Amino acid sequence: MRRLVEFTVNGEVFEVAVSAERVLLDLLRYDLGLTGTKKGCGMGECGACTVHLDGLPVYACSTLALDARGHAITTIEGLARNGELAPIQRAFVEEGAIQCGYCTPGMIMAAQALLLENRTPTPEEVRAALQGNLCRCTGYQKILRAVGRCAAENRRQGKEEGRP
Amino acid sequence: MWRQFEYHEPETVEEVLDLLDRYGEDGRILAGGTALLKLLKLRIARPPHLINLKRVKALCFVRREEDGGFRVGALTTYRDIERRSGEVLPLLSEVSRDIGSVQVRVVATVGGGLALAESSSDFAPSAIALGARVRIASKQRGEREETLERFYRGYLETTLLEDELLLELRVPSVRPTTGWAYERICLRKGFDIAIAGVAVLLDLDDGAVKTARLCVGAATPIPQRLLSVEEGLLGVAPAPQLVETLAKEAVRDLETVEDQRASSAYRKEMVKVLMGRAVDRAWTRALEAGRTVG
Repeated sequence: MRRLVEFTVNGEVFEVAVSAERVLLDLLRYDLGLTGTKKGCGMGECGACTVHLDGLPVYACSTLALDARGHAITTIEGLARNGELAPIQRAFVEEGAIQCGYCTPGMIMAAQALLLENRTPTPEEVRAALQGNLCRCTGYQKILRAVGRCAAENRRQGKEEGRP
Repeated sequence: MWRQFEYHEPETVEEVLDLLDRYGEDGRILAGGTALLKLLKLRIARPPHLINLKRVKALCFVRREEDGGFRVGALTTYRDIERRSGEVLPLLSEVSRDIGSVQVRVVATVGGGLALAESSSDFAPSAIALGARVRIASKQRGEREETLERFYRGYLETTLLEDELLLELRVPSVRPTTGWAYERICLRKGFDIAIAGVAVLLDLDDGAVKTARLCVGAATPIPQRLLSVEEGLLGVAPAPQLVETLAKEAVRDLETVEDQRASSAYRKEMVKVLMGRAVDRAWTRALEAGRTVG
């Protein structure tokens, strides 16, 4: 049995008929055509499906669509503003932290969640925040550097603006 | 994905108990979902009824009691425990930080974890070391309470009956002179399942151990208190040699798990190592705490 439910994704409201067992990942990819979020393992172990619920990182494959009701859902498609990449996205590109690209949306969402909460994470904090995201291509170094680059930029900006 | 189920979204504890009373036998509770959704996808779990607790806000809380103890609602997430500003739960805040990944901790719940009764739990042995109790309710019989230790009956088996709901965890207060530690070993550095874990709580008085509580997790089918080690530590400062001797003896009679992650023998060895580390760290903490208290 399906019910008509309202979802807020990247600031836009959608009305979708969902059945109880529909997971958020499938809602995003198949019902809304937002294929930026990837299905890696489908089991909540690889992080490729990471999205934000009210700014907090979750595995979309392990979230019932119904449980995303009433929350602000942000996907990778929602980071860029007016065609301009978010700082974390630019950092990934500039550091060469993308190879096949499959883990990338999830990695960026996880990194962004960290930066939303902590603008200047230490390298250890970055590693801890990305523990739930696997990459089979890069060996992680450039990914960590990309996030570190954002942290450094935020630190520099903070100094300029007289913030700690 | 298993889809042949009737879906329920209760909003109050009463509604949950009512549903469990009617469908408990055929129902599965969905808390955070990180465990159950996987089972549904693999069709290992095929419940005719799915009871989603996410709207039962009354079970999401961390409350400090007047006596200094804590009450933790069953639907409190590990992230909530980790992040509680100013309300650091002894040992549990630290342990929660390493459970799964961030994405898991945002949704996975304390109650869900405890009820799942996975042998590899880090939280359970730590809560047992703290002397925690669980509060359980059913429509027919009302509320009951028991120690978390007694809650675990066997591998993947708790005392929860089909119509019962785990409401909360009660953590007794710890004295200011208490030190604690949880040490575990995994194959990976993070986001991994423990092969063995040891939780230690030491209270010191006049440079010696006044009370000791030690609990092994992950290496055994259910969390195991090590009474012989606890007794052996009383009245002394825990020198490494003493801990090693006590550990060797305790581990001899320990029934450890043999599985694809590690052998039973390896787990026995690791319990000894972890015990040394955990006791050392807990003791250091207790001394520091003692100094601050003055």
